[in-house]
Amino acid sequence: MLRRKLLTVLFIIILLPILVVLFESVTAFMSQKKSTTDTAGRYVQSLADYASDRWNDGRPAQINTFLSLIADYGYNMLISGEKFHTQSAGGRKASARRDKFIPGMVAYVTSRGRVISSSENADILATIFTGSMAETSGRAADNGNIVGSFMFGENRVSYVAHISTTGNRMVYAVAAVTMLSWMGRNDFNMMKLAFAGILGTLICLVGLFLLRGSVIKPLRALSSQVETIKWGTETPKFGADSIFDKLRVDEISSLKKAVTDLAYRMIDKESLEKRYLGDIIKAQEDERGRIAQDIHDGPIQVVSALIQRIQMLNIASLGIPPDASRQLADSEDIAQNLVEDLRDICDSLVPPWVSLGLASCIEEASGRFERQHSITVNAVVNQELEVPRETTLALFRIFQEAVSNAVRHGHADTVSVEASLRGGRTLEFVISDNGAGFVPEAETPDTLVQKGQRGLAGMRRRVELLGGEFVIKSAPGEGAEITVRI
Amino acid sequence: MPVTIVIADDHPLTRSGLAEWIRKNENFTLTGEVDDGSSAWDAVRELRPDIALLDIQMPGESGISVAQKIKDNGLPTRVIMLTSFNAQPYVMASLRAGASGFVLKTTAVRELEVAIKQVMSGGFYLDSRVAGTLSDRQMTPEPLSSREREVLLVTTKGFSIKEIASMLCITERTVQAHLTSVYAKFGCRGKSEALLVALRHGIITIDELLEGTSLDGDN
Ligand SMILES: Nc1ncnc2c1ncn2[C@@H]1O[C@H](COP(=O)(O)OP(=O)(O)OP(=O)(O)O)[C@@H](O)[C@H]1O
Ligand SMILES: [Mg+2]
Repeated sequence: MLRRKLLTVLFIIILLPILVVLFESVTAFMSQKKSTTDTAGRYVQSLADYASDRWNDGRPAQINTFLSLIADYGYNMLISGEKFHTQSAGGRKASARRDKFIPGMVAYVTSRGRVISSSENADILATIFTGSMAETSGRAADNGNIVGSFMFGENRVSYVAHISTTGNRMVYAVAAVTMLSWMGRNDFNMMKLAFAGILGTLICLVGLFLLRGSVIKPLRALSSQVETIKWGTETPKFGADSIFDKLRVDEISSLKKAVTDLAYRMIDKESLEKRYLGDIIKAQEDERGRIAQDIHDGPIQVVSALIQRIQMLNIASLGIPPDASRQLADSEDIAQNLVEDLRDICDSLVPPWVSLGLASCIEEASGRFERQHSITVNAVVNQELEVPRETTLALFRIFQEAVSNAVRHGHADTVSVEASLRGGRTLEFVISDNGAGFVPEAETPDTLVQKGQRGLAGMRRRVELLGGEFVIKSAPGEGAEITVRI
Repeated sequence: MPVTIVIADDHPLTRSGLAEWIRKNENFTLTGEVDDGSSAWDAVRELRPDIALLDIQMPGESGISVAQKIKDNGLPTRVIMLTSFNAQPYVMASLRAGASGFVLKTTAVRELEVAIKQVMSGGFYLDSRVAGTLSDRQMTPEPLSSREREVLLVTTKGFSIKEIASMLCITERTVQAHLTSVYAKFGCRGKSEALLVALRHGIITIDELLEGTSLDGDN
């Protein structure tokens, strides 16, 4: 599909009808002019023939009566009912008998162009006759009519004339009708047409220019904003209002507002989600803490007390037979193992060393992971680091998950962890393994969580909650490296 | 003259068990039995027992902070931490707070008598189970150079690497290198583990540890 600019489309949409209308009016004018000329032509032809017949009758009185009936009110009155009188326009008053008249002009002209007799004011026909004979002015239409124009006062008057021969070869009957326009009152005019066309185009261009400022530009700004905005963290920034914003279109203003609203809503949603996730993580940690505390205060104490009683019995009562004493020792061992198991559960729920600071915590955890997974853990932790407990806990959990992933998925046998201070205020925590690696791009938080894999997603969320940065670098065969910057 | 003892533990079952055991032993006199940190401090201050058995985790004030108060106030009472935790870092914190012994509740009945005797004679007692987790791994560690020993000693007193560097007039990098070497020789990870190994094998004595700290005066 062809990409079209809105401006071009609008330009075409507006200009095309203008051109069509112009074209249509030219065609209509042409055919109107032709039919007018034809009708007028047939009329003057019969008028000229009639005049010729009267001449042939040879009765001067009749000729005079005929001529006196003829008045040039213009052909216009035939087509529009409007009287244009070349006589009155010429200054001579029209008489009452002109109420009944034959429109047109008739003149009997000698072959040399001298007027023998004519209807009122029809001397001009001599000129037409001579011109026609000399074929200098006027244009002979196909049916022998002459079409032309002459200046009458300030008006250009068009005419259609016809020349009929009489019996006398020296005398011609010339008839004509005049008209001010071909199409009724307002004549068609090529200049006007061109002017209308140019004016239309100009208006169209000005309109489009204004449209560009008030619609196209804001739309473009809007779309570039929408394309580049970081949803959930930014709101769109619309530059200082230009003069065109005075003609700002309502729809665009509300579009801007809608986009801004949307951006704010995304931010709200994002922060709600973050808070929600934070609450979940916090609730989870709280719950773990509570369970660990309960185990510590309950079962561990009870079993410890039990162990004490067994020990006291075994030491104090000297009279206990060796058999029973061994049984007691076994019972104590069982109870001791139970306490160890309970302690391990507590430690895995809430690692107690988290409260001892990042360095001790990571050292302690490294040792445990080495024993737990039979791997080598290289820990380099800057002892100076002062990290809030909450951050230590998050980093510990990330470390824990990273090691578990490295062992479970990467089958790594060495994991390195490094914590250091970068650029004074940034804590950098890097965990890398020598396992099989994977393609991190294929694992976005959403798809992971859908698959029930929360490890990587959880790490990222924890870091986000601390306002930090989380980067996974890995490729098949190259191990995995997780970097956290806070 | 029997040894006077105050016991502080918020869990009645373990406390009453131990209390009963102490009462039965003619070498000891139980002069106080309390169940939280602040009453433990009050009892020690008023009764001036020879030994205070303090649970680490108690409501209000932890046993470690009570031990710290006893040390800070120069009371003659010796402190043995009594705990359910088997975490080495707590040992370290206890020692720094001036405790002379570290005993697990689950071995107390069997070891407490020895522990009290050892502590009363000015020694340091570390529960066999806590120590055992270390001795499992390495029987006799490779001997340390005198510089390594020195670095380890000040490290366990709670000084930071930066402070140690300026104290011993060496670079921080060298301090780190000495520590890494110590950890390698002991087969351990961190300073708390290293301290226990050193104490266990007499490489560092508890007196050295405590004396250094009190001399410096600033914890
Ligand atoms: N260190 C690693 N080495 C190799 N592959 C890894 C590593 N870490 C993650 N992966 C890959 O990324 C996927 C996602 O890991 P993630 O921790 O999110 O989920 P999981 O471990 O499969 O499940 P969960 O952690 O919820 O029990 C893993 O299934 C694995 O394919
Ligand atoms: Mg995982």
